[in-house]
Amino acid sequence: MRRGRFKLDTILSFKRWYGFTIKSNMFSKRRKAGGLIMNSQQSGIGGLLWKYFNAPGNVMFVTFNIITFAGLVTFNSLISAQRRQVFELRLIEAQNNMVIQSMGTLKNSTSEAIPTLKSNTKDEHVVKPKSDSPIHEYTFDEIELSSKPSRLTTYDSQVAKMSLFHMMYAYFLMKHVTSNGTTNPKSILWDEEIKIIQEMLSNVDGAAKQAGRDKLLRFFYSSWRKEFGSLFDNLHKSQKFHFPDWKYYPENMRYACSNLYKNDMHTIDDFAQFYESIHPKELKRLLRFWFADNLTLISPSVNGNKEDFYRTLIKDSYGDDPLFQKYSSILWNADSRKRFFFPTYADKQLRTASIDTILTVLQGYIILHEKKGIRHNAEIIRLISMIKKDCVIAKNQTGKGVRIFLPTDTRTDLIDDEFEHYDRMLRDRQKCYELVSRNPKVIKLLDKISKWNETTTT
Amino acid sequence: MSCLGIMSARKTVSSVLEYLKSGKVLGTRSPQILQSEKSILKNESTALRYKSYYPSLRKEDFISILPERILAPKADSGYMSDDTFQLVKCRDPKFFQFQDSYILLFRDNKAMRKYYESTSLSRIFKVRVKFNILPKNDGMIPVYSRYAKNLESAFQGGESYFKSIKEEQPIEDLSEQDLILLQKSVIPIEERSALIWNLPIQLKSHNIMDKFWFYDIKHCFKLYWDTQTGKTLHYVAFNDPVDCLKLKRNFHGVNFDDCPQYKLLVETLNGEC
Repeated sequence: MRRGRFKLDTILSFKRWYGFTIKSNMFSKRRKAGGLIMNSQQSGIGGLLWKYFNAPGNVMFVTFNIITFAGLVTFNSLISAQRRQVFELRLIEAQNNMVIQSMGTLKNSTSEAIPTLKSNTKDEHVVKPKSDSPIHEYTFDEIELSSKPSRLTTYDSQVAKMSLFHMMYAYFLMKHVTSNGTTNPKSILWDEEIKIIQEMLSNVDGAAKQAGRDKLLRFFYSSWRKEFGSLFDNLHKSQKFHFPDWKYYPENMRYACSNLYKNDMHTIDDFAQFYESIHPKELKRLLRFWFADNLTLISPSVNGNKEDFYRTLIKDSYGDDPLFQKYSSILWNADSRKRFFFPTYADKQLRTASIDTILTVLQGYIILHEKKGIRHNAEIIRLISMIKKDCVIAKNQTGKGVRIFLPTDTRTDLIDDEFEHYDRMLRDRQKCYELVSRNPKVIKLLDKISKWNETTTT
Repeated sequence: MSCLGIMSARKTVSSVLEYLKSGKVLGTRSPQILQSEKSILKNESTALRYKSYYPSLRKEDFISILPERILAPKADSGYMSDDTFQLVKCRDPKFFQFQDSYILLFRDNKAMRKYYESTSLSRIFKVRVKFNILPKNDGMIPVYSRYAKNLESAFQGGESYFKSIKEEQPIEDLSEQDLILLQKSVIPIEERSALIWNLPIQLKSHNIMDKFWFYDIKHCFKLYWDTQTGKTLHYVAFNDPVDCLKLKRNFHGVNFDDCPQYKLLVETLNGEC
């Protein structure tokens, strides 16, 4: 009962406000018009509207809407009209101002400028200058410009080139002083230079040229560096340096000079190119001495990978203990020189070297041991443990290859739990060992080393 | 392999390096000098002219281009001593404008020839230097002494400057010793003097001194103006050389009162920048 009453009330109020009642069968499937049409007798739009507006609620709603909309439109148009008016006013004002100003300047220039000048003359005791003027007008033909554009260089590359040149010049002088006799019939001046030095040395020993050439070059380099190292710290001097006329030099020196001149010497690629272009072995060795000390004058390669050049340097230093140690120690020493040669692994600070590189170094130590009898057991053990402990499979251009992590400056033991690739690497470890064990070079080198033990024990 | 051999070889190395310490390197100077140049060098001229659009070269710049200086580890190597030559910057005696050239006045003909020969392949600003040999009496010294005289009077005040340029008395040729003395007397004035281009034409000297009150200005006056183009050139004398340099550093290239038509160009007379 109560329920029915409530229903009736709502229907009544609904009717009063909205003009129609919701009948109980309104949502039945039989009704086709969806319940919008209230009465089947009053069909058509007119009837519908009549019904709709007959209710006070609807009328109020629509009227308010219309009034609000009209209000908004009027307000908007009023504001924009006002703005336009203001803008036009300003425009006219500005135009007027411009006209007034230009007239004013005309007036000033005619009447007011002269009095200021007059007062000037009084005040400053000025004699009217003559027709001559301090303004010098240049004509195009008059201006002298250098016809040759000079090379663009950085401070570092300039210093590198200057010291390389100086070292080579000193080296050739020394070589020719010790070798006696005329070297180049074309350049008398060079020979004169040599004679001057030879006269300084009253007793040049002919035996000098053979005597310990290896050690001599090392001595030459270290004393050259000691005497002239400070020369290249002076940026004023290196900035002023330019290549001397090398036509007076002996053939080899001329060739080296022109190559060095053409070279940019910015990146390690440039140095590698220069190094490859030089053929005399002794000069190459000198360049390796220089490069080991002056690497910082040169920028790393753009792609950060110059491993092939590193292998070249290592191979060229085979049997040359001090130089070989200098270059091989780059692998494990805590220094930044690694970044010149080796690529990073997976965008980390870690750098890796290919197994070939490690083996090349290992072979160098074996050669030192076998041919020169110099033992570097600690280094050999270190290399072998690196192959064993720090190997990883990495993708390169040719496919998957084994690479070896190089110790970083802060951590010597790389593979620990912190490293996020650790799990994956552990899984790869087995594969890695397989690959290493299949490498014939590893087997061959390890075989050699194991034979030393036999010989020492037996 | 004898121990003696190694010793002597080491001695060779040391002596070669010792020789190189003098900075002598073959090819840094051209050994042949053209015949025409030789004949000019032979006559008793003692001055070289160097053309440059850069007004701030100093004597050290001309000394440092000697090949021995570049390739020797010691800073003071080479034969050049302080009194080997005097550097004279060519300036217009009236408006004090730099006239795109320097004169190197040598002690004698021999010193000049030596310098000329050793710098034949040298460069300043990466450009090969080209010195012109000046004939003995080319009238450079009177021009310089007039410049010095006018500058001295300008430093005293505008009045004396205009009096001085009006007189234009012929000045007798100075001896080299006098020139050195004159140069020495002009140095303190040059370092206290600046030229300013493009200040507004209507500004009076007290306006300028008010405007630049922060700098210790002694006095200033207009050297030149043109009512048609509005170009002006002011001479400004300072009590303190530091202020002179400061004004140059702070106002060179600045638009005066933010007006693009008054773009100031400030030049110190001693060429400091």
